[in-house]
Amino acid sequence: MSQISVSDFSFVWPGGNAAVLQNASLGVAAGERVMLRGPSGSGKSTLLAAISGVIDIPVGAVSVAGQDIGTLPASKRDRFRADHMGLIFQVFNLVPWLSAVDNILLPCRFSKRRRDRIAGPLDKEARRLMAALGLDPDALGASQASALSVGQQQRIAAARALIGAPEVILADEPTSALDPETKETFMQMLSQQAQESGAALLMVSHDNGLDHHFDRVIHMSELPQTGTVA
Amino acid sequence: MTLVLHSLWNRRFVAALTVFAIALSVALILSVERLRDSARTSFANSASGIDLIVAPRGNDVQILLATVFGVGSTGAGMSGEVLELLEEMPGVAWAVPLMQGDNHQGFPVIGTSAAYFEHFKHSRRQGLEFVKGDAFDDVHGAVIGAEVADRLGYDVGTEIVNAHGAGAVALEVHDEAPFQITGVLARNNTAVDRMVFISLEGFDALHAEIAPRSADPFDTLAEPSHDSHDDEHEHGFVPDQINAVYIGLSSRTAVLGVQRAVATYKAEPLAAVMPNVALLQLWSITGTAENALRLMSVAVMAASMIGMVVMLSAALEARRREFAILRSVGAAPRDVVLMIVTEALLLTASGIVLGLLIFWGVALLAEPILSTGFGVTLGSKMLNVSEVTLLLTILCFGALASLLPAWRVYRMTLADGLTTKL
Repeated sequence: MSQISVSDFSFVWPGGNAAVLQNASLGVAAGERVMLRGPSGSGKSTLLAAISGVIDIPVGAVSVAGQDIGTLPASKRDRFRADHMGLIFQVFNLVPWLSAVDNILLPCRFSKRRRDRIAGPLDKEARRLMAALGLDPDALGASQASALSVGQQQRIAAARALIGAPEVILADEPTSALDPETKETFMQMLSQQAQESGAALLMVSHDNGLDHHFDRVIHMSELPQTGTVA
Repeated sequence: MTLVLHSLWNRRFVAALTVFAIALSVALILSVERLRDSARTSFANSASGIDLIVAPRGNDVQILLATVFGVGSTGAGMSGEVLELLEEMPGVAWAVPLMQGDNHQGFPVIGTSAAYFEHFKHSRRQGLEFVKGDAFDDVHGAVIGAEVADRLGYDVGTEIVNAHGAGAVALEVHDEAPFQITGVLARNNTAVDRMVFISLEGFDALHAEIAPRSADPFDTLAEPSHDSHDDEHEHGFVPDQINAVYIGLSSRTAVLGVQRAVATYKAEPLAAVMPNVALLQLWSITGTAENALRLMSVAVMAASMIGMVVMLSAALEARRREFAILRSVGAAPRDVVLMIVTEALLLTASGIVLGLLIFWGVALLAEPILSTGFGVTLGSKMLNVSEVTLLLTILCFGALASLLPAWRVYRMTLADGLTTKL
């Protein structure tokens, strides 16, 4: 079953005249890892915004975990995002004045569903994810996010996206601020954890060197041709 | 909620300043309110028990000021016969004469009869009480108010001399006629605290002796008692001139009759002032100052509220990222707005609590100074209903004020979405 399904989606930003996306279609199945590549302005961010429910989109264009995003009102979309999606950005993923563990647990504050999907204490799960992503929970768990290195911050962000096992993980160039080696280990751990939790991972990146972590690599220009994947 | 606390803790310096600003204005508003209340009560109480004040015709407020508050004078005196006349008037229960014009180190000296201490009433019809000694019973006795005793360190038995004139500067000292203090009155926070009382005879003697003194000062020493008033009435000494008479009525309904009788007195132009009415007039003057004070404290409150809005608004720009992150993990714009409002409420509430503490602290410290110096009290007692209402109003305004930055943050989070444009 397709966790992310985009069908024939066109989008024009309010006030803009050219369509950023034209008849884009895309499907990502549960447990599948898809890399989306394209030059700036090709609509990558718009597509992520549409999937994560930040922008208003027409009915029937995008559905996530079987829910048509276009039919949800704005406030429901926020709730839905908290329940079903984990997001990782390029930089500045963390609330600087919260500890690493508190940052990881942020989605659990907003989503009862993610909370409930964690067996055992929340704190323990956050530490488990930290360890799985190669961070020492005892050394770093309580430290403020602002005290961490960029590489550590991105892993904390990944842990936050993964906690509570959401169906979909969206990553917007999460590796662009990392050096090559960190990049490699980060991607390895992210894709491994995503697969373990059975989440559909959709990542946007310029980076060619990461292709081997993904089941599919799609270029933005191919979107109109890819057609709907069942 | 914990997010709000964390976030505020992260900005603890500015937050603390904001809380402090609010606290100060809360303390200020409370103090002004208390002082106002206290001043008005002490004011309104200063002449209870007196039904009428008879004095040479003049401005009601001036008469009130001169007699009850010991400020200024009633102008010309009136004949001592008026006193006798009033005493015999139907409806008059008692009449206490007043003679004024002297001071003791700036404190007004009042010549009166011992009946003054019996009839003068202040707050809620409380009478005057002696903490030490008793009323004077002879020419050289004097009774002093509590403040006079405190300031000058007098006690029963101390000898004092008076000066002519009402000012603090002794123009002419009656040092040839000393008085011995026979009693000290308990503090009651009215003008009485600042007064020195002597007998009519004593007061009169003082002035009777002025003339001979220049001729032969030893004369007066040899014969200190008054010589011009040996024809004393059976009900007591009656001087030539008095300044005013306090009157108590046997029944309230007699007021108009007595007033009319006084007003139509043929021999001299007199007026009978109802102290309560004159006090109201006077209060309408001071009321303006009171409102100005109140306005000021409200302005200070408003300024501190604006300070809070500035603090919240200024932080918004720096927190865009924070909000974007919160949104990406599922916070609705509404949640972010709620955070801002909660922050404002928290700041205002802690400001109020701190303000109360400051207020109580100040009240505790300033109480002795205020009550001795000005006869008003802040009172460290618990809050009354109107003060609680006031504080709640401040809290509501805090929440209202936060709606401005909250609205901005709402727009901002909607526009930013999840992408942080930094």
